[in-house]
Amino acid sequence: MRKYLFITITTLILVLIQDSFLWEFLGTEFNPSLIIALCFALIFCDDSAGALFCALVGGLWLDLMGVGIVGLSSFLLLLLLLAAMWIRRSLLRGVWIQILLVIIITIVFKIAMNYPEAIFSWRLLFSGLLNFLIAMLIHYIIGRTRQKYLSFEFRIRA
Amino acid sequence: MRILLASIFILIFGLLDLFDSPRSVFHRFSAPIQYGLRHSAVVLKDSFKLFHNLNDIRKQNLFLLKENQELKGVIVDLKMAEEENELLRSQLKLKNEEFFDKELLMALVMGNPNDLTGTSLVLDKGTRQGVKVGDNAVVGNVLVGVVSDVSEERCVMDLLVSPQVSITVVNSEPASRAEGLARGDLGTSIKVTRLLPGEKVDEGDIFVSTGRDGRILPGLVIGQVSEVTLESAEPLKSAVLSSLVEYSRLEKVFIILGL
Repeated sequence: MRKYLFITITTLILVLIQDSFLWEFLGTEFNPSLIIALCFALIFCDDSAGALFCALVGGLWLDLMGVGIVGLSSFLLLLLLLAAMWIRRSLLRGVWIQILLVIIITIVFKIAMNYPEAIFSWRLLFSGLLNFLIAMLIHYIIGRTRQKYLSFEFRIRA
Repeated sequence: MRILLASIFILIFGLLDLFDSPRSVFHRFSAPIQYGLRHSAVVLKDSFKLFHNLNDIRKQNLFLLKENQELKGVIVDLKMAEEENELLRSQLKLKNEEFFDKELLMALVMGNPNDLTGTSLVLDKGTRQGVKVGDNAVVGNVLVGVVSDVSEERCVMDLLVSPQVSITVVNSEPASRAEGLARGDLGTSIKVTRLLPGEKVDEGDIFVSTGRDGRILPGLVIGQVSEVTLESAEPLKSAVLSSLVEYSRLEKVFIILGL
């Protein structure tokens, strides 16, 4: 329960930063999608349930913040994440494939959310790459925190 | 699978507009935070630009100092002309700048992260404040956009560079009065078409709205001519306008209510 509450609050903060500060600082095309980054960081930590919940809640915050159809971001993010997780589990697990997945999903999500127009720009590749780097950073932070927490718990038990 | 079902239910509720009230509440709380974060990004970006362009700024400063001295002389002339103008206006009882009689509503610019074309912006005012689709948004007497979508607490404004916006315009130069149709050109500039080849249009001329389209108030500044093109294959000529307002730096605009 604590984990899901933490994800809910974190996604809200990330959406606020993404849609205001980062958007102004980097522009629409370069702007990374922090929700996708967090989802992938959780997938890299083998926390699929957390990643899916993050996609649901993060997408909902994104929609509530914007003016589009509420629920569309969540639905789309979930579909893309489920596809990515299936590929990771059943087909290809290599590092390059993971990088490619983050980039592709970022681009597809951005283009789809720009409905009704579908516009592709090479700058979106940079956004995807930035997303991957952020995902790796979050993955590292989660890993370190878990390690610290687990070792602390281990010491108490000992 | 349960989570996917939940998202489908949310989507259905969203399509039925059942989330409008929670969204309005959310907008009310998030708008000040969003605006604050965006403003801090603008300040930070400006600081970076300042360090990056220090040499250019020095050159510009020297140029501006020189220009300032020249302009001081012009101001004296203008003050005299203003006094004369005031006298004439009171005699003729002209009602100047009609659109300021209308109610203006200040709106904060929230950006539009979903628009990859960069031709629209989300404003923090909606139907609750009386905003309607088609309302004009201005900065001073410069038209910046037209409201294209409204929710309870927010609205989407199409900028003049958007291909969705078309306005009947006229050259403000008394010697020309060339009329044309202005439309956003690929999100980068405003293109005025249907100008007769014989009509005089020069670089630096200012185009204003005529109001003949019935959607835009007359007399609002649309842009300044940066390029005039006359292709031999086409019977009419066109001009490219650059806006007098820098859209990327917009933070506040005024919506003209009750058109």
